[in-house]
Amino acid sequence: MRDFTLGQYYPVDSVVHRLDARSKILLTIAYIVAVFMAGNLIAYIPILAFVLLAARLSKVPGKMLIKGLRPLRILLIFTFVLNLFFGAGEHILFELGPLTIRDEGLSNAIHFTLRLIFLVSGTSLLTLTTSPVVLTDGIEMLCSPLRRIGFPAHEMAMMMTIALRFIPTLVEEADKIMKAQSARGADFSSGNLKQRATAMIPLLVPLFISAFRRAGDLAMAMESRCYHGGEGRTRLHVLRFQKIDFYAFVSVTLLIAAVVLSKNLINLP
Amino acid sequence: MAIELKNVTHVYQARVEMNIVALNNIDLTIEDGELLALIGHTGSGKSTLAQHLNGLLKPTSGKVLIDGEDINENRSKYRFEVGLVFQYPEYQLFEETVKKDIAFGPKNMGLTEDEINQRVKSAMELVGLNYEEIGEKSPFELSGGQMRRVALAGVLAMQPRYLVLDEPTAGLDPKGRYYLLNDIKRLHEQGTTIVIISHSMDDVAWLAERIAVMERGRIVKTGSPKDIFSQYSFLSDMGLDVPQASELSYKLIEKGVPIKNCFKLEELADELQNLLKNGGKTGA
Repeated sequence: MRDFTLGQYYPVDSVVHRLDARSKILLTIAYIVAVFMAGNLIAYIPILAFVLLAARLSKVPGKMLIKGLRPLRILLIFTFVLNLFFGAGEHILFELGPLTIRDEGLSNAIHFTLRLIFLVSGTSLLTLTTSPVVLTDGIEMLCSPLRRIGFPAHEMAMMMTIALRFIPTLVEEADKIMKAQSARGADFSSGNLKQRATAMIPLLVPLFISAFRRAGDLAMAMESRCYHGGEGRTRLHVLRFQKIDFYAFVSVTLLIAAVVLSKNLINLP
Repeated sequence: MAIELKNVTHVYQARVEMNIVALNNIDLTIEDGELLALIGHTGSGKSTLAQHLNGLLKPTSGKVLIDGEDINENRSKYRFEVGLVFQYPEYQLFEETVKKDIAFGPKNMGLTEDEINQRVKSAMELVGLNYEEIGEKSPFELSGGQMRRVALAGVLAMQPRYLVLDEPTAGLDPKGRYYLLNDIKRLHEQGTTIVIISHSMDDVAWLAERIAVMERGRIVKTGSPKDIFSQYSFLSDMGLDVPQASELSYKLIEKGVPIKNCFKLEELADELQNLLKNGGKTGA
């Protein structure tokens, strides 16, 4: 339980860490667009170069990025195999009993698998280099134009920040309650599904009660410090675009250009 | 017949590539029938040590033995032998009624209905809760002090031979604290071996027969309360207080009042009374 972390922020100082959170979010969106636009295998070369460059600049160890892909491995294998054997296409490349591999199937298999890998590794760079609090700040500011049409940008961001803030607290609390109940002989790890579900009650009831108690305390503490929502609120850390943000935008523009070019100029499957 | 910790070391991973040595080569024997207090600064490893005593945590190296048998060989057996009451145990209450909550432990032991009821009743008596009056109440209707005693009863109902209490009086009002300390004392007099972890030196002075001082995962000193509390500068180096009685008697001795060094309030009161009777000359 204790090892569980969300967003797995990797705290070092790097160019990528220093980028404005808003730029990083926009860049990530642009990057996702680029990945989806990639029409042939050549187009993945600039994408690969972009991810490698970003990873290098961010000083996040490659191990952490690859670790982020591990939960996806079953999905990746599934995607690859399914596309490989059940794809359409005119030319049959390989046949073994009921299994056939066709040309389009092969190229789809490679495309979808690469796409997934690049999507996950690229976007996890965002969460690895941006602390959750800064990230929600960025989201809030990006969404704030929507306030005019009644979208509660500040409130949403505040809720996200609080939720993120309390995940480790609640994990710790759950750990403690689990231990306390184990000390009274509770068994969380054996039995059938129904028995296990019932065994969760002694954990969940105290956990909910404590979550409500904490929520009440927090609301009281916020009100006693005159919190009244987003209106007229200033910030301690003001996000500002800098030169590096400009370079980052240039690089992602180049990426999209490269992807589009490779699609139109080079004719490959 | 005792709990023995032999070269117990516990290392845990706080973050990737960051190991913390919570317990460093601990050797400690808890004799049957004694009341041992563990004191030490926050983060000195007291709670980690407590969780090794009933197998909730496994030592990274070393052994925890009860009656000479390694508890990690047969953890489910020793879980009920050593009752562990956590910090703020009232936060573990979950059942609809006080009775049901206290019955949770005995039920997990697989006892019969009659036996369970019997145990719930006697556990409630032990901590001074009225079975008829509050047995059917929801634990969440009770006061903080009562809730804590329900939680304590929940552990006592398993009738453990050893009882480990982590900060049992933290956050209680003076009355609740007084009741709880009395409960602990009574349990000890009835033969339960008790290990108590506390920041309150007054609690320790009142209860303990032996004290172990922990710092940075090591036991740096063990001794009688008299022994430990007379080492004023050692304790303050450890970031620990002394009991109020010790503090007062130190200050009086410093001013030249001829009394003995006392750590219990009653003892100090007697000492001062003697002094007054003898017209200012030492009674000792």
